Amino acid sequence: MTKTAKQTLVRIDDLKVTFPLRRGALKALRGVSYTMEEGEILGIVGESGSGKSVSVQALMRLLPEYAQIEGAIDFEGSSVFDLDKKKELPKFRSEKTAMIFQEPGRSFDPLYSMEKTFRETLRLHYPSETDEELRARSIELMREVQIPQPEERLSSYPHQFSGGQLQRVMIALALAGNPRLLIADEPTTALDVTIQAQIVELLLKLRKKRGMGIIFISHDLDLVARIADRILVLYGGLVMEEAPAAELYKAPAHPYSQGLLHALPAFGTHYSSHELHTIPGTVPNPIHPEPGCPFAPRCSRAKDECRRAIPELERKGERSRRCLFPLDGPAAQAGADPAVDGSADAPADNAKGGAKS
Amino acid sequence: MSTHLELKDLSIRFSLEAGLFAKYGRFVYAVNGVSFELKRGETYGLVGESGCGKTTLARLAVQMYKADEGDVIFHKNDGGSHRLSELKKKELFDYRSRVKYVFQDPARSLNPRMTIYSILTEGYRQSPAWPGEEQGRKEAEEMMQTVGLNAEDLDRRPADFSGGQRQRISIARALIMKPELLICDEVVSALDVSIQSQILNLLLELKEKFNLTMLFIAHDLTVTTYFCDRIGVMYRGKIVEEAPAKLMAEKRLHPYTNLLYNSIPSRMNEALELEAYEPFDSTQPLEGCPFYHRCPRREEKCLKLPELQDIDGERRLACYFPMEQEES
Repeated sequence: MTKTAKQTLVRIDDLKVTFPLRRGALKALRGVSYTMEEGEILGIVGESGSGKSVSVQALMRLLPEYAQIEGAIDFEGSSVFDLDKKKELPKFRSEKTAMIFQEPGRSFDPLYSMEKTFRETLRLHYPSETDEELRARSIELMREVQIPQPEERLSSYPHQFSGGQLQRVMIALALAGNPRLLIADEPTTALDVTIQAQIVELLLKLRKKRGMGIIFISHDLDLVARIADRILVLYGGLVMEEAPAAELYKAPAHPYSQGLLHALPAFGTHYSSHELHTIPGTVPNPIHPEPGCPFAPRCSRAKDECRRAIPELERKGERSRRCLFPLDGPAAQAGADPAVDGSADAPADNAKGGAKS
Repeated sequence: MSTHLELKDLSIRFSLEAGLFAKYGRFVYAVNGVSFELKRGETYGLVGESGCGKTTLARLAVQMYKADEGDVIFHKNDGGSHRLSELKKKELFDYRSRVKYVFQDPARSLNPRMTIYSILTEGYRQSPAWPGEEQGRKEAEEMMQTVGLNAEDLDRRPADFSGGQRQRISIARALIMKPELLICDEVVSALDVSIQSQILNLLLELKEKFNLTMLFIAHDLTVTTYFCDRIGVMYRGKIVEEAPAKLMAEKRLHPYTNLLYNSIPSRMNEALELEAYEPFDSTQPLEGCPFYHRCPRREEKCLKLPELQDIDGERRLACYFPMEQEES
């Protein structure tokens, strides 16, 4: 994890996104701010409807015309809203940023061979090169994402690849323009867990090699804690908590982050000796949000003042939280899972196994 | 504990192409000779990656597909047993009222045009146990409360409910006929994290209340370890290892099980096998060990299929070269 003074890559300030629907105005984001440094991996965690995808779609200027957007999004110091749609935006979307999606199978044209898919993308960046030169570049990229026998696989079609391999190819295509920021929106959700582990390792390796920043979006806090340097927890279109990954994982300050962490069992626990903590209720309604803290209706610590107005996002050192009654460090640590940054191997298991019997 | 459900040497293959002009002779070998037992009152977890045959196996157990080989034997709570391959239509009815299935995606398994009441009672009405409209309505109302919904919601339709609530409806539909055995096929995978735990707790509560035996199919190992008494790990249509959940969390002997458990996000570490590999081709009949092509420990002997063998009374394993007492 890089700690040297780096340049700010992305700065999002008080971003509000509203979709005017017939049923009412859907407030997808209600004032989200964050910054991201060069080469950093920022994890965004949230449940469905929390606004995690909308925030990056706004950054990529992928939101539909009718979406009402307020606030500022700067990339390398200049606003993305100033980009000229015809001239600058395509370049921005391939040479500055790139994106990979949840279901790699749906992101490919089934009638294009891989060679043609690569050629189409690479031609944008290297318009004067011959097919042969582009082919060499494709093979290079496929090798970088560890596709075996890239020379032969180039003539294959998407259906001849497995899901994990397609996601690798997606990553290779995203790398074609040498972007400074890779946005991965639930890139492993559709994949099996052994493949997920491989993709995560690959992304970590690529970050190291190319020094690009990654925004990694997922609903799985365990997974995000594994890959990200910093984590942003979104709920109801607001940032609930932001902290370095290990710290948030060890001692969440916001009751919602804690709820997310404890909602699923820790590995090795068993129903016969551990009750599962649940978060009662359901995710908030984005059309008619409650006036106060979006989590207040489900929060066990909520008091009247939580329901009156949305609490401010308070900064404390490297962490910030939006909560009037945040959890104390030590109290939260008692129940937290120690498993993070790969230290979760046998001893941790045994400790847990011992504790439960 | 007595045996409740026995799956004996089940196999099924699907024709790769269908239709009048389909070429025959090409098959997907989905389940390749699987045997295991569910004890009365236990929760048996079936885990494995997509395509390993776990859902197919569960569907074989309720005869949504007919097995090519093997049989399912069900020992009723009130004595007597059903042998699935020999059941007549009426007996199949009885069997299916005792063994119920809950599907993965509640959005797609509830008919959007039906009211919740008709969804709950559709199967029940066909059964000889149907107590009539008045009593049926009453039972449906009770069942709604049992799964944590309002009795007044019976006249609404699935679209009015969130994902978690719909899954509760699916569970209510399964339980209204007072089954003995519940098959839960990835019942929490489509739900938000904060909702998953609600459903898991509900299932635990209901299991207690109705004395259910459960077959729990999932790909999330952390959840399965928590929720199940015993776990069977499937790969390529075979069970490769089976052990009590707690034991499996501590120690795994099959190289595949070990890889699978080391891929759990909270346990991932650098020692993982990272090379990309070719996915298995299930159109070839299984001859050797199903994990042969990926296994770091393979040897020539593994080209011959290892049997799933009891090794210490608690664990069954199909491997010639198991991981030795390694604890990670």
